[in-house]
Amino acid sequence: MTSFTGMLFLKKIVCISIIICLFFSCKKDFDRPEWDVDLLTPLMKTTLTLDNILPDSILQTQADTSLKLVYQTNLFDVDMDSIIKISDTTITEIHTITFGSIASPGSSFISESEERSLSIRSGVELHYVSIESGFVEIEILSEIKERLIVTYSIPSATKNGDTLVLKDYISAATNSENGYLLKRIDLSGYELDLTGVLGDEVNTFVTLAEGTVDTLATGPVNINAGTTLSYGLKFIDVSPYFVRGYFGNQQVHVGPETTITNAFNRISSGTLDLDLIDFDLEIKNGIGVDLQMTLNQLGSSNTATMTSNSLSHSSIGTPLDLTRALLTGGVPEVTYSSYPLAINTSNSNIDQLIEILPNELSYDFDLFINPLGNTSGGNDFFYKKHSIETNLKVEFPLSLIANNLTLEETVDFNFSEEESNQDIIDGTLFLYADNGFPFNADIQLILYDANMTQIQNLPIKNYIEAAPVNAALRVTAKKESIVTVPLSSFEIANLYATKYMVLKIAFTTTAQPQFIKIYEAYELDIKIVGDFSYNVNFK
Amino acid sequence: MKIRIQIITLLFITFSYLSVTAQTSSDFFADTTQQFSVSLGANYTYGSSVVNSAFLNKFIFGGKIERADKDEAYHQLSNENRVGGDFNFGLKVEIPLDTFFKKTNVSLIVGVENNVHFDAQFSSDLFQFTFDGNKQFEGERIDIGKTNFNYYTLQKLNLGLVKYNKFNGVLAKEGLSINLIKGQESQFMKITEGSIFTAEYGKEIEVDLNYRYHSSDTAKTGIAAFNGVGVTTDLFAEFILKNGDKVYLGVNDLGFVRWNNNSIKIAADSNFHFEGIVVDNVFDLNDSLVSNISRDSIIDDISTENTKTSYLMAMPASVNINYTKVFNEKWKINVGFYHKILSNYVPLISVNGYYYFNPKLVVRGHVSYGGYGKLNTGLAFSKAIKKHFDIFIGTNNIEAFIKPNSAYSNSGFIGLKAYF
Repeated sequence: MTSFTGMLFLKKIVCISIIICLFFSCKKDFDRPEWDVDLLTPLMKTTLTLDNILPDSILQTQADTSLKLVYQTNLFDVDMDSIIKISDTTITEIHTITFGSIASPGSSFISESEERSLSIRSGVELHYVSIESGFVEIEILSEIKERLIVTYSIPSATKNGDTLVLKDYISAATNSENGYLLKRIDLSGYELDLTGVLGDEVNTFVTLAEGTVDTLATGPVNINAGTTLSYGLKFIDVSPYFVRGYFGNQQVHVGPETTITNAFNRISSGTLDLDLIDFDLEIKNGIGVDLQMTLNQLGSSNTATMTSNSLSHSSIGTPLDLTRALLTGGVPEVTYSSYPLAINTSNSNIDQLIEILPNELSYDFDLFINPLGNTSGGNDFFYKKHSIETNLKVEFPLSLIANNLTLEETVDFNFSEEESNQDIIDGTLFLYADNGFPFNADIQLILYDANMTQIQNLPIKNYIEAAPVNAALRVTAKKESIVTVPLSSFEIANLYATKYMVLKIAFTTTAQPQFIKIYEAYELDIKIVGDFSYNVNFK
Repeated sequence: MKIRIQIITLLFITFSYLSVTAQTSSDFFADTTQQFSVSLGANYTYGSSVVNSAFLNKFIFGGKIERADKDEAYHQLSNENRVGGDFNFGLKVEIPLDTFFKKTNVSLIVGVENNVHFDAQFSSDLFQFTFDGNKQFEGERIDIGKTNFNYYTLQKLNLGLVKYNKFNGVLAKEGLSINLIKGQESQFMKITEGSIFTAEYGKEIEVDLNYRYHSSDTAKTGIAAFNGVGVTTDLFAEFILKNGDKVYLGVNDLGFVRWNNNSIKIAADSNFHFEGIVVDNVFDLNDSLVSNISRDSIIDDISTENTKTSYLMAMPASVNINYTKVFNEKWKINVGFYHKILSNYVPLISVNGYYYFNPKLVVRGHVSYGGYGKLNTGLAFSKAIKKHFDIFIGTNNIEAFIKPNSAYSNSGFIGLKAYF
């Protein structure tokens, strides 16, 4: 073979090879297959009971297996700060040298004790405070031109028997700058005796300031008359665990304030008529003082429907005497005194407060502390954890009339998945319901985008029919219903755009205008089946 | 420099299209002497006993499979439905050993090739379920058993010897080749028994499944993936009869591949009952209805064994027997039998007629029945260019190009052999 022929040969091989290579390399550019299928598949199965509807309530079964709803909540507390407040207290002590002297290293040149007062609410006279948390900051300024050993103690403050003491060095002052020391001490666990040096004072504690020339000073130091040693004392965020003393003859007003209740938070609209309601309000006093409480107002409101009602009952506006709690000497530390208020549909309009399906309860009251004066001889007490509690207990049998009582829930919804290889073309959702409740249920499914802008209210055919009842208004058998949700390509497109779905179920009791009881065994079985045309693809 | 590297890479890939294909240039122009040669080529074939070429083309190359495509396929369903195909390309070099060892009638064969293979057998119900969904089977139980699927891609290094013998002045060859295999990718599934029941109104679905699935390491894919090793043997011999006719006997791919320990095995023999996702409280419903149905969770639900373990795959060995009769300088006929075991293949009977326009241009007509499809008719051309090249191109399924709706297989081949 000549070299020319060889070159020609190689060129031809290369050309043909490239053509073959390019031909087969096109494989990666192939499209993907797709086809349509009709799928019939169960999607979801659930059983709805009253536990699902009223999750935060406690359902109790009565003797006849009918249900009673018992809802308990703490309406309000009165905390310690409302009655006794130890404010941040700043005290400055300036110790001035009266006569000039020469102090040798190690010799003390000042030792002075003082009585100081804590800033406490006016009229409150405390003997003793056990501190749960807080700090004291001690700031010392020295004009003495030698390093000193300063000791600052609060003999009234002890922890496990040890006095609170700050002992530290403070640098020598110069012609332009004083010696300076700042320390912060944690007061958690300290006990404060507020009776002063002789034990006959109130709100008063004792301090002791001492100054000593540093033992390592090079020689005696000249302390001129008029030279000062200043101590700044600052109590910060002192929160007592326990206090004792006389809490004064003070009046405290609380309110108007509101508290949130979530008992009916899933109910968005409709009306509810309840047969009977018991509303027990128990006011408990855990403080060692006599109290007189006047409930000025107690009400409920539904902010969604803009409706509200105030309680009309003999207790409103009437002073209620609460005797002082007693110390037990053990655990729990106190025995509460209690004042129960029995409010029901026959002595009040309490049903009106409940039937508006409130999401807020409001209150306003006055507290009169020690209405009879210092009857305890200065032995009022207050444990932070034992305050004034107001416990609310609402109890009513589920004997009711409901009209379009609508439960609403917003659920996250994400129909489009990265991994999904299937696109729904159209179809129908079938909801098969076996209803054991004596009420009809209308369903709404509302689609929202990511900004909670409504996209569409899905068309729904039919409703869940109420179970039949006998003469005693008791369900005799479950009722089967089929609810359909036709999904055209328009609805499917909207579903793919949906980020939130609002599910609304509106209940209307049967046999109206009679009140109908709900029994323990009642339940609603739901099965959702999808009948869809899918486009199977491998994109 | 970069361009040069790319060109070199391209050339390497191009020359790597080794061919131990069903068609070789010697089918058209019989070797008359032992000669140093380089062959390269590629071939593909795919077919089905159920779906026609138009359907298969859409399934493989993309496109919407329409109602008419599916209805046409349903008419072809039987108790044994199959689909399968191969795509091979490679390069082979034949080196006469007289160059090295003074052996005058033995050549060394060295080659590399890439093989892609898939085959499957499936029940009629499963096919209809796959392409039309389960709604049509409401209230019925369908049989998805006796289903299997096998797919692999691998590369081979061929080392072999060919011995040239002369009988009555006619050259006949016999040879042996050892093929070392680098396994790239494999998937295998076998459903021994299985059924799907769709209750009335779709209120529940019950799946009864006894299946086994193997997959090579899914973390390593592409041509560089080395997920298995194996070896196969090719054997062939040609016999010249007294009347000058030739008989060819050959066995290819007799061997196995062992896929490594990172391979996945999923298996189950269980009954699964589905009534929808159980939601404890409809008022705490979240997007779990859709997003919690992940592929992993479904696999967990329908498997009782999900492990990483190696597995051994027997290669689908093929047997090839054919008889060639040369009538004169213009006409030659060839009758053959070809079968591929362990691959849902139906023995293929073929007849090839050759017409030589002149000693350097030949046309071949092909008729066969079997394989993955049904009746095949083909046409191929081969041209000898001077003394240095034989080139051939053709198909065994010309009907797939003319009337794809009536064809059940498709194939094509192209090759080049250069003599030195």
